[in-house]
Amino acid sequence: MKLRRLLHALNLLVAALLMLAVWVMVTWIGSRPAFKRLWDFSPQARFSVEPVTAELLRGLGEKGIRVEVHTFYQPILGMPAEEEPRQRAMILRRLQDLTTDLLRQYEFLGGDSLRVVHHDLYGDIAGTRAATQQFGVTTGDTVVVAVEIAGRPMRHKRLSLEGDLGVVELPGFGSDTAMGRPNLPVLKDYKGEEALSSALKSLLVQGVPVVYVVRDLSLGMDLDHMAMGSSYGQFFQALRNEGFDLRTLDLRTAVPKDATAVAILEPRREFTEQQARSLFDYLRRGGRVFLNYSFVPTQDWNPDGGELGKLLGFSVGAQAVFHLIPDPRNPDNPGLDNDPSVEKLDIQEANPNHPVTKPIVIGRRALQFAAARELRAQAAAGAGVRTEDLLRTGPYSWLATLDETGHPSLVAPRRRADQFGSRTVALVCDVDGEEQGTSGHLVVASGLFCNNAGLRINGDLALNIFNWFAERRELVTVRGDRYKARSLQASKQQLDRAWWLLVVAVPGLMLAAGLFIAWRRSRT
Amino acid sequence: MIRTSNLTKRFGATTAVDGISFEIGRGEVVGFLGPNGAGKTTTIRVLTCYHPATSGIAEVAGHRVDTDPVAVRRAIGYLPENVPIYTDLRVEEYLSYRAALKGVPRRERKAAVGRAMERCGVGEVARKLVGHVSRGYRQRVGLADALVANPPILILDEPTSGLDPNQRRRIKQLVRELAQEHTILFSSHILAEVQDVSSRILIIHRGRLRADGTPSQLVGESSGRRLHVEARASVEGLREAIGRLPGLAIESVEPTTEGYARLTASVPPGEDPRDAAAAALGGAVLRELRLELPSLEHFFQQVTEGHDRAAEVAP
Amino acid sequence: MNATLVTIRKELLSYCFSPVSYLVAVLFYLLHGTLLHSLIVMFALGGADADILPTQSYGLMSTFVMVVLVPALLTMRCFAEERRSGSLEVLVTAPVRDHELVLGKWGAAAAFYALLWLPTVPILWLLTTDWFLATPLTFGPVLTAYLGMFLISAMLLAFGVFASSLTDNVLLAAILAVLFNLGLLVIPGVVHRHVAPWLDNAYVRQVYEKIWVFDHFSNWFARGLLDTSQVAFYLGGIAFFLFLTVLSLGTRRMA
Repeated sequence: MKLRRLLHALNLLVAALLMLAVWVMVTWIGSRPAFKRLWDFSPQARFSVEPVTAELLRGLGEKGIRVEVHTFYQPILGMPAEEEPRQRAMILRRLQDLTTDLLRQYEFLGGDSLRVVHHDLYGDIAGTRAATQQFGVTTGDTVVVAVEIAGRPMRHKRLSLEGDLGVVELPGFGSDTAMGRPNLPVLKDYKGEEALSSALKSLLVQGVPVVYVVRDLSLGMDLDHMAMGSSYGQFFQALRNEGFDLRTLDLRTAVPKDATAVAILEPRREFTEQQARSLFDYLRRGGRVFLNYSFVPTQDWNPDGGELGKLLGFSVGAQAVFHLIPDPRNPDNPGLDNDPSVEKLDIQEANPNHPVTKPIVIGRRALQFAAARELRAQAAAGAGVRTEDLLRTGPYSWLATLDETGHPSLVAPRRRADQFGSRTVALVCDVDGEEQGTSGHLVVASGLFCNNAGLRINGDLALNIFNWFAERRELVTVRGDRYKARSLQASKQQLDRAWWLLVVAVPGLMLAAGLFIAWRRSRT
Repeated sequence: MIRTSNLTKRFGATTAVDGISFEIGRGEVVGFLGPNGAGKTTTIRVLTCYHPATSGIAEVAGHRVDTDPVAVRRAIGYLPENVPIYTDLRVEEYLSYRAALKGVPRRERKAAVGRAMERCGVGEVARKLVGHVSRGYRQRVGLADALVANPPILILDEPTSGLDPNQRRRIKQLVRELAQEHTILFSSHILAEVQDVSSRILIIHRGRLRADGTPSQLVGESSGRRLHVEARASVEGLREAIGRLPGLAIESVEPTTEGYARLTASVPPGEDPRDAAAAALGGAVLRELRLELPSLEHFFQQVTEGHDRAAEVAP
Repeated sequence: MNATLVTIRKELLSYCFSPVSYLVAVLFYLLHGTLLHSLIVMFALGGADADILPTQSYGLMSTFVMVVLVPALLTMRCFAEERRSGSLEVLVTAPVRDHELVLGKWGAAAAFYALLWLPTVPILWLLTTDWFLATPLTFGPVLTAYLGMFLISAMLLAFGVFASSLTDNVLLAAILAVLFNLGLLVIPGVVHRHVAPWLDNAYVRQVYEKIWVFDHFSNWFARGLLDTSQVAFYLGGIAFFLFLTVLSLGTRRMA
């Protein structure tokens, strides 16, 4: 009865397929967001994300938003032999692991709306190249968060593994050779969630960040309504590429409410009291200001910070700052020189702990300022102000005196130690906001670095400042102290004991148990 | 207790069991007889729900095999041929496990196992591993297994195969004892055992039921009665004298010692022609006048068309 | 249900009484102990984060070997041996339903497997005491790793039982099971790069993530994360293969 056999076989097949369908169904239902649960039993619950992030991610689906996170990890092949590079490599690897783990959570919570792509720099060259071009990625160990809201073009933000997601404590700022060998970098904390969620949140914000460029203080400057041809044209274009909207502002009027930041480039006039007050109030409302001085030979056109400086605790020196160029064959002996290129200041010390300058330090970028003056700290007259240095010159800078023509003399003072020193050329002032928990920030730089001539070299710094201004507003507060690294310390004796336990005691016990059972069973 | 109606089982192109119908009542001991490959085991397997029937009905203790297999199995204690048991358990462990599997409640298990072991005489090897006991003991353990849940029906497939004569005798004795409390169906290809023990015999050959009845019934129906005469006469004289008797068919006549001849004739069932033969021979000196009754094995041979060498003769 | 428990008990005792079980245990713990010791030494020298130790300990080669081989060894005799020796007939003609039998066999194998792995947990705990390494470890990842590994193995055991029911050759059953285990654990990782284009589809991706059991174990269970959707996948798989076994038993009986 071939037919019967066939029917019977068919019957079986159908039953099996039905059960397969049940399996698929059970899995599918278990994966629906309503039923899917993730329990985190890891140490310090390090893989859990905050409710804030969870909410953020779960809400993506309903708003029809697509998020992509692209990682560009530098592959770490083998450990370098020297201490410092090896430590750096280990930190990087740990950061890569932690970030990959964290991104799994994001994917889990984001469901169909969020996709993580880990680019294999060696394996998929074409794809990686396309992605780096799309997102303007220039270095490795970068994470890009990209958001596509229905109907609008995709916007993205770049984050640095070491700079934004990890808290890496670097060898001290202002490490004098007198202080001994610099310490090794240490991974102090990991705040990947804070960085990623903040970036995501800021991208989701409907408004576009606006930078107001102040006109009325910069006489004789060629700002010209931010045209391409102006000497800051490339900077303005770079800001626009980063997603900023640029408008002009006269300080006669109050700072508009939608200002993400205010930029004052090369002011030639002092602030009036009213202007200073207006800016201070703006800072107290949580505002951000970028103030960029420079040195011009015309004496009256080098304002010193005036009322604003008094309120915030800084003043700008009147003289130009120059620095000796070290003899590469003899770096400890700065030598003397008559080289006009001494005008350009190599910035040798950047604050490794501040978000604006940290990526500079990590990336070992070289900065150059031109036409700079010295920034000096003084007691702040305003309440709730803290000042922190951002950039300093090397230890062999001096203040130039004027020569017969009224121009700064390029000749360095002869070997008089008190004339040489490290001088501050950029600092940041944090002002406590009116509202609890908010704060305003003022970044002052006292040399040219982001005009067309300097942007090529210093573009990172300039954009860092404004990105930092923009992101702080959308910061997601995440519980700190999530990550504690604990290393395993064991003496040789302990390790030996462990060996005895693992290789002798346990298998031995099993063997004994087996023999015992065999003996028992053979008895009647 | 057991009833089949037109039971048929096919395996692909082969028909192992072909339209068998029989009925076994409570308390009967029925022997299932047939040469190897006749279909005994297959029929038994259908009854124990191991194979489903191709067609026909099988009913055990009032439950249908196809619709209510669990109830059927609960009513049967089954001992298959070759008694496969797990060799790594002790005898009492094995029986306890089987009892539990068959639903004997925990409280009663130990007692049930003890009873079964005692009846089957395996008490002295209770603590031995099954793999370490002899074949004979193993058979009895299997029987104890069949008994342990005290089922109303016992089905034993070749319970004495592979045993020596003493062991076989013990098993037969056991079956007789058990017959007092259980309905028993057992199969064998050894005629003598079936004859000794059963109250009824089913003969199966090539898938078909050839005979169904008590031994005397079967024998009674069979041909194979013979008259043996040895007398002082000549071959022709003998032949002529007996040949005159009605119904007899002479099979052989031959001279024996001088002056004597021996004749063998087949006798119709139910008849006893000795008186008539004696009379027919007149006053001739008789050495032997005997009526040979048909035996079951003869019947068996006949029924299985006489070609089966597998039918053994009793020792 | 009762028949299931009875079967579990009997099969479990068989496993516990069999000398082969102890041989397997001794060999495994020897291998595992050696590799774990090397791992600990590496951690102590390298100063790596001690919290990763439990995770790494479940990622050792010994784990992989155990998970591939042992389920096959445990289940290969389940039905194949019974069929070969004829005891299947005795088993099946007891008043036991097929699914009770299947559940019982699988349940015993799973229980014994869990027992086999159990010592790894107190060993880790012992190691954290002062006598040994004096380093407190969080046990969350250990427990989830154990659970994850058990679930995977339970599914492999279910397949093993199924494979055993397909044949009366014990060795063949073992080989089938080993091939399946290897395939499931190795193939998704190896072909990942090649199927990357298809993974753009969210649904395909989700299915692939489920099937890529090895990756999910290393990155979720082994780190202390319990993902209920993956648990659902394993439970479904166990049910599926056990169901297939019941079908298989039914068919074999017809023959």
